[in-house]
Amino acid sequence: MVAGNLRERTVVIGGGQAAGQIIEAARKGGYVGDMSLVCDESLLPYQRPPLSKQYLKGDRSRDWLLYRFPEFYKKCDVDVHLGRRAVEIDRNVGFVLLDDGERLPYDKLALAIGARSRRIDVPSVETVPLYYIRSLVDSERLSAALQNAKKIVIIGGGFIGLETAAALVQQDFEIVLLVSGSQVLPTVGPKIADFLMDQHLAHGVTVVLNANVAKLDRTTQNGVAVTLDDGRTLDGDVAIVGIGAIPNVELAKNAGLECDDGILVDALARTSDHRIVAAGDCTNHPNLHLGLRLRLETVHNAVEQGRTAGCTIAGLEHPYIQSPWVWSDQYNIRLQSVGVASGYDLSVRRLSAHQDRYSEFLFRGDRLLAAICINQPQIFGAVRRILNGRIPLAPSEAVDASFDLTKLLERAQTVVFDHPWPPRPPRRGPALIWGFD
Amino acid sequence: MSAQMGFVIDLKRCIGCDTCVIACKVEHNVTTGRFRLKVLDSHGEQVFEKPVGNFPNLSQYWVPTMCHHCVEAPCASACPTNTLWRRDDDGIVMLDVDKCIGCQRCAEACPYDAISFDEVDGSADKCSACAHRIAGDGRPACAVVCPTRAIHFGDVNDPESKVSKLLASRVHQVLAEGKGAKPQIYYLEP
Repeated sequence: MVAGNLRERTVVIGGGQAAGQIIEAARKGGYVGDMSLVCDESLLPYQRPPLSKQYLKGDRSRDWLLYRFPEFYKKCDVDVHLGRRAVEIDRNVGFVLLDDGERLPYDKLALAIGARSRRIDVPSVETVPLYYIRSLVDSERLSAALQNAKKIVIIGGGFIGLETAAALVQQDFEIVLLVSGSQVLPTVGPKIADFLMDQHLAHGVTVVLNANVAKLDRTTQNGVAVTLDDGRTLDGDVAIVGIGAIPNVELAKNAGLECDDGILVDALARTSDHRIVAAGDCTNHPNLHLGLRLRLETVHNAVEQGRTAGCTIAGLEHPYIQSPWVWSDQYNIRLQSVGVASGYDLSVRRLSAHQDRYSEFLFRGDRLLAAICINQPQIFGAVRRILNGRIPLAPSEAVDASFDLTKLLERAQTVVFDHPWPPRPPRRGPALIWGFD
Repeated sequence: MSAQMGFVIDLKRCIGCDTCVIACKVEHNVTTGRFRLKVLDSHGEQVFEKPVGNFPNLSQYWVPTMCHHCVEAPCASACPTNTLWRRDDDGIVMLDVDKCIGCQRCAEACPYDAISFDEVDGSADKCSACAHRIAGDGRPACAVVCPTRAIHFGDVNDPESKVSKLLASRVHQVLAEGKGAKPQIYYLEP
């Protein structure tokens, strides 16, 4: 199938997985128009999750982070503009203005402009060197600062804070983790949160709960003194902040696109201007499974919504209707969560023969909302398909470790030849000849 | 034209002995419960005594199946972390286990159920066409050990290769051609 026409121009703005996936899906969908990629970073679209894990440990290269290899963009015939920032969208004329004054005309536009780290807002913050982890530059800047550091204060008990704590404590840094609430990872429920906190405590991380930062100061040793609202002060050589992210909507908002906690898109990733699609962290999209709108900062969202946006560019309809999922690697724990846990009234635990492998299933009434799996990838994979397929699962089945969840799933037929084989020629003689003539 | 390595499997010769399965497990130290290669019967089951038809007109064949190293590899397209990718120089679909996050999107996308997963961290595993062996002009372990010489491996874009000659001389087809993945395991008629 061929979509678009040879004179049509599509500009993709972004430097993450959503941008890469938009290009891939559009080309696979048969889109033949010109494609340009504008990215304000110096690297081709890359994966951000390793920035707080493997890349921070220093055992991976920049190229290892790439979402698709450079040949991919050549094969897709994409005009790549790296290190260039889009500063304005003119929807009337149809062009994107870059920071060097160049105008890129478009017939279709894709926004995969992501989110930025939420900045901590306390007195004297501007005098203190703080480190955020959002981009490659952030991660490399932090790595350089860690060369002369021993004690690290991490502000924030979300995924970034926990993964960074795990990566650094295993490199023999002394870690103090400040958590504003009464548990780490507020989205996963108290049982999983307690389990994770215990893992961090066992590895030597000092976890301070209900720690609200009131003030930051530079110490005489060029470190950071963090004063909490209860008067306690904690010192560190380096302070890392991971307190969430804010969607980058300014470009879209200034162009008159509808935004509300992200760029508003429909299930086909179309914005309020249907020539413009958006995907990834920057969007606020409808989740037709849950009947509500979500803004997600996950790889899954970037990739799957990017695929939808790419298909829309190619003139195909591939609605984004999936249960969200996320993963996190900390120490020897692989946490995988699928679904949206908010509003559950029943939590059941599915155990296994191993203490460090179990899953929490969260229900509202009889309806499964979410599952959080600790080192149980097979359960995670099955639950994701159960949720996406809206297959009923009773709490009694979920909790029963002997109940095979994959039995609920349709088994794919793997040996299917599309055409019948030609009949065999008739045998010339008997099949078996016994004895000797 | 760059090389496109592929398997040609003669269903007339395959006797379902599983020697290839064992060779694959030994070559890659594949743990219990996981697989890179399976031999299925014509119903897609791992059982071997279920002929089709009515006596005496019975027939049965076996289908060795592994990663089909598709040209339009759906697994690589579905992978959110570039764990799976297709090598440009020979068309082999490779897997970098370090990047795998255990999401199993590849398994959902694969039309051939060719990917298995580690029980604890969920990392994916699949046939690499014995990339380490073919780098040294060797052949994949399954092709080496097959006692009936049913499994052939080579460049299907090279008209002088044995696989090309087999394809030119025998009726053949791929599994689930309609899925559009352009798989590179060609089966010769049973």
